[in-house]
Amino acid sequence: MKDYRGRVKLVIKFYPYKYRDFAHIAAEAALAARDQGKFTEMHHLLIKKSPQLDRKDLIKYAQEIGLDTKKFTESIDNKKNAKTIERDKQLALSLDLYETPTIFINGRKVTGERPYAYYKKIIDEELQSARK
Amino acid sequence: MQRRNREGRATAILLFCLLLFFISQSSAEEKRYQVPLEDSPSYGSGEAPVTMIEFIDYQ
Amino acid sequence: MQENRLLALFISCFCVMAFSASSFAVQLEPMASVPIPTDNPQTSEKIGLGKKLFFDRRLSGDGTMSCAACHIPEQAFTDGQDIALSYPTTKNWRNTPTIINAAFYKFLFHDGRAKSLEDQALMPVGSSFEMNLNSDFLVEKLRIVPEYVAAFQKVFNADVTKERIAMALASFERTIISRNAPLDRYLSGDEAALSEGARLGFALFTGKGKCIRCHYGPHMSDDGFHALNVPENPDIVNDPRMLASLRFVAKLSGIKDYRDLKEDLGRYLVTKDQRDWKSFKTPDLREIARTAPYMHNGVFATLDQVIEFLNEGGGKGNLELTPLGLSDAEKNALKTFLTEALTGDEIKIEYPEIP
Repeated sequence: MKDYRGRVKLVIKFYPYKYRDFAHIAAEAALAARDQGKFTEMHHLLIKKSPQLDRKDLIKYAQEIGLDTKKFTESIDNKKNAKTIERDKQLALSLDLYETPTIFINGRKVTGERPYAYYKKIIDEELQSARK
Repeated sequence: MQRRNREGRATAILLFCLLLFFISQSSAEEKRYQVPLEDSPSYGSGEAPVTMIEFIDYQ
Repeated sequence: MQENRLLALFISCFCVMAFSASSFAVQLEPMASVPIPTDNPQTSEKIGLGKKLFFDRRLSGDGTMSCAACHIPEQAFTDGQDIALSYPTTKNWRNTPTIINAAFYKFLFHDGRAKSLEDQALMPVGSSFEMNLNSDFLVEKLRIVPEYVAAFQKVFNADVTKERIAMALASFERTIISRNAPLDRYLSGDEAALSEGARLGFALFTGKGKCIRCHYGPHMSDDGFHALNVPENPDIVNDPRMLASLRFVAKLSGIKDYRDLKEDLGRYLVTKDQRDWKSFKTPDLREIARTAPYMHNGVFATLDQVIEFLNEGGGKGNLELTPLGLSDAEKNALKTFLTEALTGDEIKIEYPEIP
């Protein structure tokens, strides 16, 4: 992503798998952090620390990135952002997504975790045609 | 023998034309999905020419 | 003098006839009906169950992979990579073959280690670098899902078992068929179904290109194995994890010297017959425009590269092919035939609801 500063925007939607115990609460954590203006930091931390994503880990991460932990804890305990997550999940189902990550690059669907080179090729193609 | 040469040349020319035709067709239809951004969190430049939408599972 | 000339004429006619006869001994054929084994007949419920299983991530150890993770419907049931996607932290070592028309093969996998779709279905499930799930455990995972228990009862009038999981998956796979390709219409008499270029390619395919010697019949494969000496994928040596998978497979195949192995031995892994050394299954060429990259290790990204490889007579030292001497126009015609004539209707799936 660093190579593409200023040229690529990444939008995150949540599609937690029901059999991964912490997938849902981790999504709540990301949105709770977003509510306090620190989405990007939490997002990267969650990816880095996965699968250590249980409740106490998430509160620790909130502390690490300087969030108001009381607000944060309330948010994830009360599932404050459940609606957003459910909306994203319904969108995923309506798009027939069955795999995470699924990434749309200017609408081009890429299913599954790919080597960096695979995404780079598509991003470069899109940047090329955007230049025309 | 001569007749085959003439036919061969005509075919080659026709082939070349068809080749051009097919080249123009083959920069094909990449299927593109319209995925609404809504108020989903994002990072990177807002003005970016390329938008990546990732459906993610953190675990 | 006259007698000698007559004799020579007679002999040359005979040779020409004999040669033509051998050229036409095999031919391309339009799509045939799908072979269905008598012990696993198709029903719509069975196909529906197989489809659910095909997309269900429960079939992997950590829930990240399903069959559809590598056999992606929108990518012609493959994954568009030279080497297949793999279980997290591992690397696969071969190219994902398409499911399209797999129902016609006598053997499955590039080295033909499976003898039927049913035989094949659970192998990737148990593979450590694919779905990494013990299939006996899979049975228990499904037995706690009421929808699956009910579905198996409805379809088989019986309990969930490994064999029935495989039967359902195979049943779904038998519906993934290439249909309505221009070649089929052409072979059924519609002269206009192929463009001039494709017709030229067809003539080359069945003539000077000699492709038809291995790629014939409705599914364009002799169901045989041939060693073309395709170059090894450099990643095999560059990525140690790929080497681990390669050697693991060799170990499981009973190859004594697997520790130092750096090459894909192909069918030899299965038969241990020296004649099968580095032999790989002749693939069906239908839908080839959609299934790049090519060969058992995805080493050719484009059909141009494949045609060039074959035109040069294959890889160094191979005993199967000889240089073809195709001109650029002929190579292009062949490519036109492959991409135009063999591409059927896009296969659209109604995605299942996973319980």
